[in-house]
Amino acid sequence: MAGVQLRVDASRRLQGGLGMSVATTTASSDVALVDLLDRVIGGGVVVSGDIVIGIADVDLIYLGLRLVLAPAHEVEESVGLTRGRTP
Amino acid sequence: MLLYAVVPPEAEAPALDGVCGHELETLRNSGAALVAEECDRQPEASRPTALRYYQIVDQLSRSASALPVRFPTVVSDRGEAVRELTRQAPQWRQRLDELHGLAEMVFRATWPDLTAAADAGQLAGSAYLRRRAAVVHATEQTANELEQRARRVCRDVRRLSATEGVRLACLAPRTAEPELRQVLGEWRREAAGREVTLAGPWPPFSFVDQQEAAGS
Repeated sequence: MAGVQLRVDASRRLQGGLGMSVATTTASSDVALVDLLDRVIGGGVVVSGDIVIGIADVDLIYLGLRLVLAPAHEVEESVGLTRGRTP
Repeated sequence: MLLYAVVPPEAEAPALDGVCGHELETLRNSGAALVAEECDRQPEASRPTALRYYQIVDQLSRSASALPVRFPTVVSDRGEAVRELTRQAPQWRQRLDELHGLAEMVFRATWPDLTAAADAGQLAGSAYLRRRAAVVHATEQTANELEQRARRVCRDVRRLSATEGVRLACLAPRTAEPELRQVLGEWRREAAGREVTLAGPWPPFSFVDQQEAAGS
């Protein structure tokens, strides 16, 4: 890995147990961790039907529709928000 | 019930407690099975909980083909889970077969032009628009190039959204990681200032659906 200077794989470190290594990760492995969490909540099978969604301490949301949860940056893009780059 | 993953009907849930502290269970029909957990309360959607969920799904995917369920998905009761399983088992089974032995790796790539793009905010009017257009064009070209290169190793490649640069998901055997690392390393060394971050392998979160690009 050093030969090509690619960055560290956070997910592999995590397999040891409950993300304990997260506290010791470098900035680059933090990026990998962000990518992992992005996929955990932004990828995967979407189940349709009546679904209860739990987000932090927000009360249950009960849906009878197809559910799509997306990371915040995807929502920003979908509604055309940008991050501080204005003419 | 909190849903973790779709697995083949013969697969067994690992003898682990889930994020709610209850033993995992497997709901089966002839085509597929759902690994789930009874939860007395709503699972906390925190980083530690999401990582615990990931570890369980990752362990499942190492012993059998697995389609992770988007976290946190909770169905109202066992009956709802079984109905969903019955409804989707045929297509889930097909996708399980297609993804057998494959994992996902995600890589991000950036290059010096992108840094210059940060200065575009200082420009005004048409100069800003031209600069933005150039960056978008360069990003598209780089994404195409990296996708082509990654396909030497990856069975499938999907673009993921990125606030800067390019982010791609690669579907490949876990053992292909060194090859992908080499391909990306070659791209990185071809010009000064290029950076690549590779993460994974992990269960194929971005490839659970045949038709739907996960890039989302």
